[in-house]
Amino acid sequence: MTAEEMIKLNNERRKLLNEKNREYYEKMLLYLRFSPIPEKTTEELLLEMLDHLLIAQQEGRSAEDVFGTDPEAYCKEVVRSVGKRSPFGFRRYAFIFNMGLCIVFFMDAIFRLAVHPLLNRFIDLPQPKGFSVDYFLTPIVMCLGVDLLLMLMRESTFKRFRTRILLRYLIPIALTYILPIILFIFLNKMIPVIPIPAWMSLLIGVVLWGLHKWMYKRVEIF
Amino acid sequence: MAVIAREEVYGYELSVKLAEYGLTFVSEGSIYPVLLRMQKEQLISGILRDSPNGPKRKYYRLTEKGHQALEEFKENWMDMKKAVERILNQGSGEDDGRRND
Repeated sequence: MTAEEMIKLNNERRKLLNEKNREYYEKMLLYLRFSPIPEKTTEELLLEMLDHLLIAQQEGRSAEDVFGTDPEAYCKEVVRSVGKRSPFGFRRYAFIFNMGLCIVFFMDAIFRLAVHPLLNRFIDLPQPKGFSVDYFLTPIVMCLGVDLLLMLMRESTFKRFRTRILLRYLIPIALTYILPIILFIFLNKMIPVIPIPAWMSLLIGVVLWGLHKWMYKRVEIF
Repeated sequence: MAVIAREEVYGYELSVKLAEYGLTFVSEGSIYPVLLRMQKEQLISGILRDSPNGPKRKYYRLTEKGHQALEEFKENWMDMKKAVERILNQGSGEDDGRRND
């Protein structure tokens, strides 16, 4: 059974839970899916836990009776038991970088082929000379930001958004995303341009997309 | 491991069997982290297959390494049991001796 099939089965069977148990279970589901553990192991475990909870529910017991009053501690114990996947896998970052590259080449092509000619009818914009090198910052930022974002999503599963959590994660995330924009504003004229036509950007985007689809079958990101 | 060695079981079934054996202090959910750890150490293996009266379930069985680990545990346990019994019996023997004096 593949991970996708297990997710589909989980979605169907989860509907059988009552509201309170579903709320409890779905928080665990989110936490575990955002955790750096293998996807197949996660989905197998989630199905097992759901199966267990459904039987307990039929017997009049709640999710708290089965998994305890502290689901976050329980999930952390589960992640420890599975053993965290190394976050610094080359294939993982290659996948994210490729996805980012694919997005920026498409964005460049769309901007130069559609947005720029359209805007040029109303305002006089300078003609782009090619693919601006600062676009490469996006995939780099994506690689840096993905783990921070996942960590924030995981932390927020069981806790309300409080100032402490926001300050802990928002500042690094904001820096990761805002810094390239600030750099762009100040270094705009110094940024070199790769002199390729817009259709070439589109073609590179398509090739990268094909590569991304091929890699997707082989790489586990979350 | 001894329960899994006797027959293939799935998570819920295992928790019921543990309770039947008197291990009621083991909370139901706590079996999953333990099962995961044993799988990681290759002491047990799990296979997802259709259950007789329900959906697909993950059934666990002991691996060769698991059987060896269980045998080792049994030997250690018996040694420890004998040692503890000797200590306790000796203690009660001394008590009896003191009482007789």
